[in-house]
Amino acid sequence: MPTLLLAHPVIYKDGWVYWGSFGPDMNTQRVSYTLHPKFSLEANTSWYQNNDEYRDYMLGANYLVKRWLNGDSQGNIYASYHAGYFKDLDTDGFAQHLMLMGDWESRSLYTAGSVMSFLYNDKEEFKYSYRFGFAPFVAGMNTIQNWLILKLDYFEAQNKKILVTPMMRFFYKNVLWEMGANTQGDYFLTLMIHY
Amino acid sequence: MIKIIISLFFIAFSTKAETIKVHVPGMVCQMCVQGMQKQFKSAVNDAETDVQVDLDEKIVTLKTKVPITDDDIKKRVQNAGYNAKRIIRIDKLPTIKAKEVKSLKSEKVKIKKNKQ
Repeated sequence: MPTLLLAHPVIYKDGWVYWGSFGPDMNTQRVSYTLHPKFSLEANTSWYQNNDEYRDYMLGANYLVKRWLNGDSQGNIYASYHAGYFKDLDTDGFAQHLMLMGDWESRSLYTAGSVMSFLYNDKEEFKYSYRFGFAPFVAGMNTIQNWLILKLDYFEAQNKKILVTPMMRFFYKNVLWEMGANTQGDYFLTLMIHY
Repeated sequence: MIKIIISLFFIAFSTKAETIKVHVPGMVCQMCVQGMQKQFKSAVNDAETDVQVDLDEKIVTLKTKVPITDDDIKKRVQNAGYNAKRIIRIDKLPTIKAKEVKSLKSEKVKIKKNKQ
């Protein structure tokens, strides 16, 4: 399970988000609706070829635990719980995801970390992710914002080592897209649209 | 009939457009801009042009088509995920008339002369 993007799981009231991340041996897609500025509902599906063709279909909720609004920056802590159906080459059944995530960003610096628990088929697997990024220039309201980000992932069930992924992020109005390739040569593309 | 005319007259004057500046700390990205535009959509004619977000100064400038109270502004900003710190109604700021400017200038000249 190489890539699970860290993006704000709760946005503004009545906001919709489509988010998809695609690689040669994985994809994840999700749709969420923010009912309240602290709470969103989400449907998502993931597929991981290298994990016995794991595929799941989940429904769940995301909660903004805490937000710090400083003059020129903000920090957030989110918690998520998703449950649903999974199947792989051997079996199928009930699956759950639990996630705790924190981020801090200014107009030119960005950092985020998360821990995610996958519970399925009597197994519990943890994935740890961390990102640090900076913007080479600060864009205005109607211009493309570019970010250079370094992502670290550790997922014991998949790899016994930390995966390092340099990547680029672009943000224009309500569209965000990312691309990168990790040290094993796995590339990915991500698209996020919020409305 | 008279009541209707009076009501229409009242509505016509009460729906005066207004320019409002709101200080919102913590806005850092394009998503903040989208959130503000979405929350104030019903209060302006065109969200893209009438809701301007200055991410450097953390100021949201609204050109409203209907009257909007401070409490309503605060609520909408909260729905976008932020807090409104200060609300300034530009159209209600005291304006300096040309005559007053002239008199201020002459006052300044007098002070200069006295100093010399």
